[in-house]
Amino acid sequence: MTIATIDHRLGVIKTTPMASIVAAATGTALHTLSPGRTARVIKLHIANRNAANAFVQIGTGLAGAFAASIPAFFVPGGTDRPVTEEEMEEFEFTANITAASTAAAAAPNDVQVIATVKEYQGVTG
Amino acid sequence: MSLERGPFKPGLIEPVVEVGQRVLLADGLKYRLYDVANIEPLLPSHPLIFNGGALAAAGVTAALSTTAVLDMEDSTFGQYRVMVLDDIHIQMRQPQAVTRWTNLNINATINLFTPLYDPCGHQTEFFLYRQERPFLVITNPTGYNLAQTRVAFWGYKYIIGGKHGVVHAADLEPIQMFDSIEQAMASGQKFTVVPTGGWRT
Repeated sequence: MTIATIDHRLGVIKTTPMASIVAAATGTALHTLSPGRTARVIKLHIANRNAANAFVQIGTGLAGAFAASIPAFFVPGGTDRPVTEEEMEEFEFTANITAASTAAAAAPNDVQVIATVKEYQGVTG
Repeated sequence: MSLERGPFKPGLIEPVVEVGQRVLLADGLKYRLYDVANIEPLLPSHPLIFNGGALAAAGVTAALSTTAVLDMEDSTFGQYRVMVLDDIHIQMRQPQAVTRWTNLNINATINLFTPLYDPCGHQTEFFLYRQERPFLVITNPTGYNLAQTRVAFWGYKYIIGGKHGVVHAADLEPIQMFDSIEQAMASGQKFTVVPTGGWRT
């Protein structure tokens, strides 16, 4: 069954600074959500500069407290993967957005992630 | 009687009157009648951008004077619309101790979301006579520091004439002055009411 949704809400689009994931399975800050707001990731660009294949996840929580919010993106070693708005999940974040990877090491063998997010107005933000 | 034009009209900004028509400047207690002698656009451009400076995460400024950007000459008043350029909230005070855009319990703000609901900015419109400038309280609602807090303005300048025509005077004597809107309405004059802020004289 297909479920259609219409996003009737108005939001502002922001681009995050690029995150560099330098250790495997370590939640790394990607987007700081303004208090009271919610957000959707609408676009991603992942570059796996590590030789090993990686599953890159977007979620919440830093370091060992990372919890994935959407399914992982498979990014073969030494390749990059842009994710367009049509391909992105509609998951709505209510906390700071972080990223983690199953393979990563210090630069230049890190995994780089940049996101474009749409923030929705909240009662404080 | 009001003419068809007036403040807060939806759509791209237009003068609230034409040259040769009359405005009734309403500042809260007094209603002052003037002729409009000339109108000139104040174009959206970088000199009309107010910058409150850097602001820490969740920071709030004091009431910042807009004198350098918005003050008008004597014998003129300004019509402005507002848009923020950074992720900030602005609360407007005009004069400094009177907050605009309020209801019983809250002070509404202009923020990055405002143009999404009101693309032409007609709800942000305000007027200021001479140097009766607004003050801005700027809030950073984000979880990170902002390097600048910019607010853009655009609108029109109106050169007005009083009882003695167009004179460069700090206290331009109006054609007529009324204590109430009822008095002004009963005068038989045709005018457009222009609210010039929360001034109490």
